[in-house]
Amino acid sequence: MQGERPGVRIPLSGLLAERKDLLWGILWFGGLALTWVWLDVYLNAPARILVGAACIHTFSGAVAAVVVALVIGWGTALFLHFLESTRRRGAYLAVSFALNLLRSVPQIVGMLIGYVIVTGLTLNEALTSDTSLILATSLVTALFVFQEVVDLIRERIRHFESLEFVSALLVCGIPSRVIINREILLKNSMPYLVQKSVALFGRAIFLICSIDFIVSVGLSAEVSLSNLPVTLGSMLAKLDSKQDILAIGTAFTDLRVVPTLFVEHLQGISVAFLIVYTLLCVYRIANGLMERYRL
Amino acid sequence: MRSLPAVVLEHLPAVLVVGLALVAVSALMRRNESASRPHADPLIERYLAIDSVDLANPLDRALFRDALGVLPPPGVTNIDSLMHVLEETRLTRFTDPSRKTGGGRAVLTWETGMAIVPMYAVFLLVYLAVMVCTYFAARALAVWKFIAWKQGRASYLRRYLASVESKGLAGAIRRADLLVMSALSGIASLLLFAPAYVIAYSFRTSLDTESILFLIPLAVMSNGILINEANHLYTLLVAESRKGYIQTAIVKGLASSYEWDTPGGLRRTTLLFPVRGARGHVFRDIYLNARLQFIPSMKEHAAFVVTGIVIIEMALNIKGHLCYALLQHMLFREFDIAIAIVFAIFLTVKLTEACVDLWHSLETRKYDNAG
Repeated sequence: MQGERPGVRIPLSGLLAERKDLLWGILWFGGLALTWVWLDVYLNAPARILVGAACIHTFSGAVAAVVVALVIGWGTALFLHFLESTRRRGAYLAVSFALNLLRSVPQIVGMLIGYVIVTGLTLNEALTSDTSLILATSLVTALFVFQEVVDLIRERIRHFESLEFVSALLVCGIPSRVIINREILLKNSMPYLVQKSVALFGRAIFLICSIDFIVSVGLSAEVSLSNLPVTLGSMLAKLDSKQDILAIGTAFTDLRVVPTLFVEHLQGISVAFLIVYTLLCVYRIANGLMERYRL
Repeated sequence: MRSLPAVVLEHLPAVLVVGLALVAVSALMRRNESASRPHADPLIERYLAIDSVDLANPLDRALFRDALGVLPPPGVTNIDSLMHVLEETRLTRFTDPSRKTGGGRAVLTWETGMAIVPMYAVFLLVYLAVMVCTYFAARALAVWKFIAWKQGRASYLRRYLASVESKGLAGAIRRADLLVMSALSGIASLLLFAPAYVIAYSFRTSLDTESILFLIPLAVMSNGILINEANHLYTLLVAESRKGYIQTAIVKGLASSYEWDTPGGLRRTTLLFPVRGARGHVFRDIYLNARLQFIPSMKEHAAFVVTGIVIIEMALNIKGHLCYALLQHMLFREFDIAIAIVFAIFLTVKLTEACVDLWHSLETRKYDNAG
């Protein structure tokens, strides 16, 4: 087919076409490293440490959200499959109904409600350490993204069930749970799960940054953001970061401001760049994986 | 295939369940709020209610302390402790955020409910505009990307690198335009993935970021909504183009060239009108079948669009808008009004889902042989 052959094939540009996931992964890490070197040169130490902490909290929170989403999604998908295969129609419909209900709640609204609960737990001192707060917010995030994992796993199971593959294994005496977990998911669906995890990582970063930005606008009157672990979203919401971003607008009318953006307004600009660049790279990595494995 | 009553029956229970659950949560929160509110000591309240004593005045305070020393209240041994509690309670009246809203917390009444209606109408207007604009823009973007893929067109950067590798420095200088285009394309990509608040704050000094005219394009372009929707349709187009019936159609002689405005090729209007523009071309069938699978995913996109609008209205503090009001009511712990707004947003998504189901049902009916 014409479209499947790139117009130009030469070593360097070939890499761009064939291993986009790898290329964008390298670009992402390279970009983060370069930004860190730049911050090391031009940004004051306290602000730089804060940006570093924000990055770590955001990325670790997103990874935790992905892990939790995978676990919940896997459990839910298997539970639904069990209900369906044992013909427990009532329970199956009830779980499906609950899942569809959750799907209809816009993620940000659901997360906002979740943050109200997390804020309440913080006030009651049920959550005190940074780790517990990050895990709690990751759980909230995971609750609104895990459905994609459920859909994927169920689709994979359905696909293999339609083939003779599953029947043959059943005839060989292999239990259903082994067929699903080992043969279908582990051996034949890994690229799908990896691609989904990468896509969810991007979604989790977007949601965590957005909700932290919104919360910092003033959801909690009693728990200030300094009590919550700093993330890229809350860092961007700080007054000095906002002023740095506002400086971009000034640069449109006064070009003399442009060089100062990357030196004097570094905190806000670098945080905004880290968010946007990460979202772009993660999307490209997920897309690259999809193209490479023809998912 | 589903009819209108079937679609209503499918979505109505969800609306009822969520409605009842939210009413229960509202009642629970109201009860918790009143239980958690600190109950004032009647003795302290009695002293603070004395009109002739201004406890903010040091002289009055000293006289009051002396009076208590002469006639100590029963059960009170330490006058200084009592004075300290009086002072704290007095200060709390000024500093406690829950007492700052003036006249107590608002509750959901007919008046407060009706105050939400105009904001909800604006929200619906913005939401509809964003949904329509996103659909058409994503469709055009996906069709353009698909046709570019079929034409075997490489990215600007790849073409530039190819030029450098084949012609060296001369190629690098001569095709510098490709490098510029690549940089512009990179900036456009960053814009499409940027969260709305990053873009809005960047333009805040030069544009009125609170107007609806700014809000709609911002919601369409930012938060990755447009690019994700376009990419989903593009993926479906690619998958459909690989199917056997398409190969058969090509073998049977259906036009299949993807060059612009050539005999057997595609007209440029295909980008805007894929069905009309690709009449007699194999792309028309690819598009129609991909669209049929794309329609149900509009339900998910509806939730993403709402998420985008909520982020914009809340993050930019756009006063008088529904989501800003939601944030304010949460801030002031007026949870029953906040819950009413959440329910209104949920209804919007559910209504969209019902409409999408109907649309999909109508589209499916066109291809149903039995029908």
